[in-house]
Amino acid sequence: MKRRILAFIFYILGVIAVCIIATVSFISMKINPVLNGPGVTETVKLSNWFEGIKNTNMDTNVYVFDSGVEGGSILILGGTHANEPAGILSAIVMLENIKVETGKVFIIPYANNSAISHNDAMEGAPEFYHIDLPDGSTRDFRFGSRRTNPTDQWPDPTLYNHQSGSTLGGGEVSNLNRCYPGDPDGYPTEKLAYAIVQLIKNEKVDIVIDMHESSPEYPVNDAIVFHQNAAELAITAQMMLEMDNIQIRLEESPVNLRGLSHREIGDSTDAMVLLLEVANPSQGRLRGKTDEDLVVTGLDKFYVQAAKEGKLYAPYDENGYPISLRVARHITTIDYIIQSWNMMSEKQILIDDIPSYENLINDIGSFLIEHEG
Amino acid sequence: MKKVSVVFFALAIFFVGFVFAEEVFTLEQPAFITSAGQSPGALQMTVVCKMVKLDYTFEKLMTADDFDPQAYNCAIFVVGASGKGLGAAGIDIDEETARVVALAQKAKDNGLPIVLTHLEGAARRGASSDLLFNELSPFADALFIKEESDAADQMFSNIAEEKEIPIFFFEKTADLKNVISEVFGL
Repeated sequence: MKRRILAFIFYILGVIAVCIIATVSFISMKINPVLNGPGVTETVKLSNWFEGIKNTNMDTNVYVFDSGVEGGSILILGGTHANEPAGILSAIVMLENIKVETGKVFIIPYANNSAISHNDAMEGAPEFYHIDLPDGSTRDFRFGSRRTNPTDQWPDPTLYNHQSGSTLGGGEVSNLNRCYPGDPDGYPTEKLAYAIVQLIKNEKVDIVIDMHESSPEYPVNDAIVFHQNAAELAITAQMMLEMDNIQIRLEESPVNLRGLSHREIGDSTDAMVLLLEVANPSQGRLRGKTDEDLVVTGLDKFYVQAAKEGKLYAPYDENGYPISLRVARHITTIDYIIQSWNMMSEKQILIDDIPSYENLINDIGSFLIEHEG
Repeated sequence: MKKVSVVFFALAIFFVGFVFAEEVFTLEQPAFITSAGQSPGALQMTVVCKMVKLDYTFEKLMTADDFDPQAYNCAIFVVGASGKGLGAAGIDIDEETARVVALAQKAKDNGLPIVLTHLEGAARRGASSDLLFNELSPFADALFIKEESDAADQMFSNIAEEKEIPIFFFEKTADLKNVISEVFGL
């Protein structure tokens, strides 16, 4: 009898231990990592612009680079979709390296902070990936989800009736890039979109860049999607990129595609809005094993085969599409967008120490500060 | 005999000069620009035209009924089919083809020289883009083509050769400035 009671107690203790470990692990995923860089002048919460997300997992860090010299301003968004790591990593590389000489830069690496706190286990997605640093150590980064964590927003409706009148699938109300321009009284993700739009309006942001990744079989790939007000900016940047032998496609934001950053922020604010896409096989439906290696190298044998059969919209071969290349494309595109802006506007944005395309491809780790991710 | 030789030589120079003069293709401002396929290529064209200070009007959905050929000295069709662009315009590829063909016909009937352009490279080649180009090619007086667009199958080179019209190649979009400057004498 005594043995049975002891076995029962050990069993209960074991269950409690598992629960505690799982809880600690789960809660730790919700801690927004604080980053830093030599040019950051202030780190503030997005809730500064809309209190409705304060003390929730939707709130996120905004890194401000204020030169103190009057000029233009730009908001750079990574992590709108937290399973598109090149956008997040590009934002982190920029914030850990740049210094702003004229104008003001805002960087939000985890635009949907809730989405980085979980991942898509049913997609076989990894929880983390790491980048090698020059000293031999590694830096770990989370791999998140396209959508808001259900513990922050649940349940979603069967259909999402966007305020524009469009009807979307219900799950899209958890997708930040379908919730713009946001709703202060809506779902948490709609509140998040509203907060970002308030930042843009209140800070009179001139340019907004939203960084993404896309499946190589998707036609809008390695592309700049631009609101019509930003056409000249996008086209000039494209021509500059082309001069450096970086091919990028242009797509104008369709007026009837609602809820997306390039459409709604462009319509509802004075900012010029551009969305960047870069090909990533770990996003695609043709991929095989989905692991950290695929995220970092972008190499998948099924995509190699698809490329040979002419099924892809991105140049792809046995070299894969590594994250260093994807980040290099994003950052160089941002650099040329800013240069284009400076050619057109008196409100200059002058930034030093943007890592170059070649250096990022060769050794992205040397542009990351050696601390936790 | 000497006199005959001099006359023959003079005639030969005149004839050769005449032939070469015929080969110089020129256009006059103002230009009318439209899209054929609603891709951003037409917008790229306008940015390049702005850079070289060309006098132009851009209407991406201009119809033959609304087009005033007397207001322009040439018409430029920038070919590139975009599903998103057509969807945003609320038209399909058949409607777009009908629109641009009617527009080209009206321009041609009114004596406007017509240029077809493809400047978005291989990424903007495909069945719909090729369909538009082939439907418009009977009206073309010249082609402005990005080298990469033509590289795989020389479709544009072949059209130019068959129609015996000039084709102007450029390597990068920014190089189109040189073509426009040359043709318009800017």
